[in-house]
Amino acid sequence: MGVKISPRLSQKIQAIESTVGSQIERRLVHMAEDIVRLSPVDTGAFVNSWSFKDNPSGGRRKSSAGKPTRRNAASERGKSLNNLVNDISLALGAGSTRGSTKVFALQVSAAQYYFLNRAPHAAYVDLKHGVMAQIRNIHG
Amino acid sequence: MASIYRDIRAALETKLAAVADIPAISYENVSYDRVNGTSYVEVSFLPTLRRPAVRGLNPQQRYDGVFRVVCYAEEGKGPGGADDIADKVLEAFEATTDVSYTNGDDETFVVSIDYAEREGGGLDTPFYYVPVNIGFYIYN
Repeated sequence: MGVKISPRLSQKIQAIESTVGSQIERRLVHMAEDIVRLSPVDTGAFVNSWSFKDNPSGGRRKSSAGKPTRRNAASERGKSLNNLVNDISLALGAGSTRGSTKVFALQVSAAQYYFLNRAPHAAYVDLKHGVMAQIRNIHG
Repeated sequence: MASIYRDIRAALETKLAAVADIPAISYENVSYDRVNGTSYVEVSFLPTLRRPAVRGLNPQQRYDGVFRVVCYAEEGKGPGGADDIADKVLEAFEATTDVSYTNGDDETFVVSIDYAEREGGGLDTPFYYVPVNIGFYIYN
């Protein structure tokens, strides 16, 4: 048994999916901006260890050991934001292993996505700066 | 309109200091020498948002943020010590309750508790810690 959808309705559904998709992407990028903004910068290892992924394994992992301190915060945050925006585009867009852009709005609601920080000292930085607590407070 | 962060902080810190049997409090930017084997709590005031509550001229502002209380107890003695402190903090800052504070200018502020939740414990040798995040908001 099947249901025939008129081309007009189909076009409307596609338009809705596209709108919802761009809203979700915008919200995720907004979240990425806050994550980067709230991440402290010394060597840049912590802020550059953020990833956006559809599974909790792997991701960027930078160690601060032996790195020069007092790096330019704006520059390091910019690099990190660039990485996260690319991750989000890949996860939600045509490059996603989960399918085409056409259906990504549905996939986002069904799948789990993660902002991860795998820096060796991530737990310590978060203990001292409460980055995740602030992100949860802002974005729920 | 001047911000009221100082008063929000004072309201939350005064409330915490009044909790029965709370150990020593380490405040932000105040020197605190921790003593091995002696429990203490470390507080951080993390404002997140300040947004107009309504449209129009001179709108009331809504302030959001996190009051973070990290409960430290001696390492190697089990989680009970830090858990007990965390429970006291959670009870004192229960969600949907209010914290009232009157400053030196006789202005009274009522800070609303949005949520209070704890995270899993961790080690910061020679202590074991449990963070408690208290989400707050106030209109002013």
